[in-house]
Amino acid sequence: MHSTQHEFGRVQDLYLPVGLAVLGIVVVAFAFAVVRYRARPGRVARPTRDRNLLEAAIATAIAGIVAVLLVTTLRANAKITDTARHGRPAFAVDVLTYRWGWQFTYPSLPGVVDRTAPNRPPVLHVPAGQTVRLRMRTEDVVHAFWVPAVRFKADAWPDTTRTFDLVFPEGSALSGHCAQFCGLKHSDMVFTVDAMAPAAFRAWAARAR
Amino acid sequence: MSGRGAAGAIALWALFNALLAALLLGFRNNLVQMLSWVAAVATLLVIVVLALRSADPRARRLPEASAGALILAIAVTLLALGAGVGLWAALIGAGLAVIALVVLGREARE
Amino acid sequence: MSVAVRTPTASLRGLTGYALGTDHKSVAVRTFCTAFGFFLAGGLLAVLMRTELARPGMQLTSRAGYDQLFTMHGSTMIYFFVTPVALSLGTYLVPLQVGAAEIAAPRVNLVGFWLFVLGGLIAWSGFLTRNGAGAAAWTAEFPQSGSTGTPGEGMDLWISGVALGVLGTMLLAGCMLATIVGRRAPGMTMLRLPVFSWAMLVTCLMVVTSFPALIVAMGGLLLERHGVSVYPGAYGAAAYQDLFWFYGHPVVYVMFFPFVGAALQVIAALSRRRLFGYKGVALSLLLFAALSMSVWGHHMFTTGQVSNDYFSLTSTALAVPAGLEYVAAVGTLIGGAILLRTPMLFAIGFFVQFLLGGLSGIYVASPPLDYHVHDSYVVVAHFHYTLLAGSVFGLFAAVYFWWPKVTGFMLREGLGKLHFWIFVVGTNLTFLPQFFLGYDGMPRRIADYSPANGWTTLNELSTLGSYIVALSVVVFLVNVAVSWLVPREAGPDPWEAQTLEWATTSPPPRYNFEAALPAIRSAEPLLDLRESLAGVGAPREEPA
Repeated sequence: MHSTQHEFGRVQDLYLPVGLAVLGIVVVAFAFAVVRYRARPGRVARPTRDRNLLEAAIATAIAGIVAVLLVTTLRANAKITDTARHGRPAFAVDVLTYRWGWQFTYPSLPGVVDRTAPNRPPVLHVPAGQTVRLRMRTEDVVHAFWVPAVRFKADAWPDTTRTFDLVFPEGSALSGHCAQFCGLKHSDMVFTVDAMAPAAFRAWAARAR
Repeated sequence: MSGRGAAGAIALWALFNALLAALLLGFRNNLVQMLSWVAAVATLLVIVVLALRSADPRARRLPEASAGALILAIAVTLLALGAGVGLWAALIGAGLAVIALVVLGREARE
Repeated sequence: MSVAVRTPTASLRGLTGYALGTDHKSVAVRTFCTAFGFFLAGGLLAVLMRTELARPGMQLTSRAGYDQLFTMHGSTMIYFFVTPVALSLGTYLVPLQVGAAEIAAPRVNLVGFWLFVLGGLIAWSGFLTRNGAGAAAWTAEFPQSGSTGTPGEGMDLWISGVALGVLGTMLLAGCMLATIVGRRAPGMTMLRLPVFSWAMLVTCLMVVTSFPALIVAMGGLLLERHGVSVYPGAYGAAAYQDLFWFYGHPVVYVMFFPFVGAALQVIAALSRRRLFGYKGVALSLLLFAALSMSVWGHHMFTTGQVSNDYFSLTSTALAVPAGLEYVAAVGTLIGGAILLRTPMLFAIGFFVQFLLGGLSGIYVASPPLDYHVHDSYVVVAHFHYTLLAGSVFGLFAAVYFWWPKVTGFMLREGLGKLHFWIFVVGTNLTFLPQFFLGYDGMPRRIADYSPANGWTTLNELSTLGSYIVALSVVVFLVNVAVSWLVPREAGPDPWEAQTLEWATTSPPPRYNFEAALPAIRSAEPLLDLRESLAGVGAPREEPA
């Protein structure tokens, strides 16, 4: 089963160690150079000799690392974005964004609406551990749907329906934010996600209808 | 020094840009993206031609000051403001631009 | 060297000189000082922002006020500080480094300076309007930046001001480019161009090819706000961003390459040897700059409007030329006799701290990672590491190094080292916590957050860091004041440096070189001269 947070984790498991290793190597190189070759009485700088082969080798090594990073990235991105490969989603949500709030409706539960109210962010109700397909539109400007727990965000685009699949971990109040500046109440455009285990979700759906 | 050496470096850079633009053709792209790039490469080719034609400057008179430059800057500013602030600004700007060009012409001929 | 005639008939003093003088050195100093003034203004906005964000709740301003703060902070720093200040280094140094008497097209250069100044003033004049200054971020994404999303004249003034400022910087770059093309002294082939001038060459090439896109984008936005449908629907919103970012990515390299060139120049001079891998640096600068023209879509990974594959490919490939520049820096230090004077500290600090920005850049170049951290404080930390903890360190390396050439006196070493270390502490304390804040879910461009998020402590630390950064700037200004009031004369070549600008007086005379230039047989003519007088050494040895 794919999920955005799973793909994120796999890519980061490669990127972070590589990045920290490069950082370490460079810092050590500068520290070594500065300590070892500090000007001292009698020290004369060595004439510079270009080492083209060494530079070419280093460039090739970096290109190799870049290639490995890219293969991992492109594969993970394909898994995330190619919704056709995700199988039939267990649940669908229609997301409407506007200045300044969210509206969640559920095609399989007609009449059930979760919408921003004054001083009360809405709750997005979803089943946990299963593919949820979200279809997002905007009434006005570009907004963005971001739930940090699933390591994913997508922009709501004018005149467009944006479709993406998420698998939520269980949690009664996962935080959600608008992540594209949209004016005065951008900071307040928040929501929470109630991702429920199957039995609890069925119970909620029955009550909500 | 003639401009040929620089023309070579700029032509190489234009080639890099053209290759990267061509690569984008193999992916999802749109008209704005490709036009921006075509404009960029075209600009570079113009610069290459100008560079090839530049030769060691003959003795030239170097200015100390240029009132025309300041007037032109103010004129362009008013023209830009006119689009948002009002037609009056653009009209004053247009008038100043004419004055600026006259002054610059006289400065260049001194 | 290029010839100059005409002794000045009118001496330029005071206001007339400031307004109308065309000497490239004077225009460069005026550009630098104006840009530095914008740095102080933009920095004040940053301190206000950080003070507001330290704790939940609105203590200082309103949401509308905060939106203007972050818009004008980013806009000031990018359009009116770092870009012009980076170019100003070239406006001053390029003619000197290539052995020219004056920059090409000095009047055009002066127009550029004034457009920059007027543009900045006009953008800031938005604060005086009823709705306040521009408030749609430095990027002014559409439709939010339209007349419904951001009503008022302040936003129109912002658009005009930004477009004028960018046009001005284009003219400055054009003159520099023409100087490198056509005003090099005899013997200075392209492969003998100093590394700083190489960096300015690619910088100016990026400016003239990418900056027009910004002017088009802004022109369209202004028309759109006044009733002309320029950016309709899905296509229009994407077209705006494609145009904006076609400028918006190269500009960050315009704000980087001049400082790479400067830092490499400093490292070579204060290691007492020639730059390692000069040809590799020249080639990698060309490659790096070309790639930087091809990556702009990575700002749009979450929009679904561009090929994420193409832009992640080109963005990650940037690591290759970047790596070669680091190889050159380390390779020059190794084998040297390193003097840890203030410019060297800032140059090394630039390379090391920029790396955190660069590596976090490779991180966000991966869409699966960027889908999480885009538009969060991770990105804010990333670009502040490249720009403030990176480029501005490079700027101070250049300032401390070339200050004696421009002014004739030295800046104090003790105060300089104090400035450096306080700046190191300040930048890291401000931005390291922001990586964690963003990763945990704090979006950017928010005026306030809930205490339940648990972000307060890290925000307080970051705010403390920002005050320390401000303190470091004060130390620098004290250094300037003290050094000016009790000057210590520098002479023509206080660092025993390598390139032509050190072969003339400090400051240089009106037409730059009064005596004959030394023979130009390498990128380090003064080092050649010194070595031939001592009877030692030879120009750069080619490998067997």
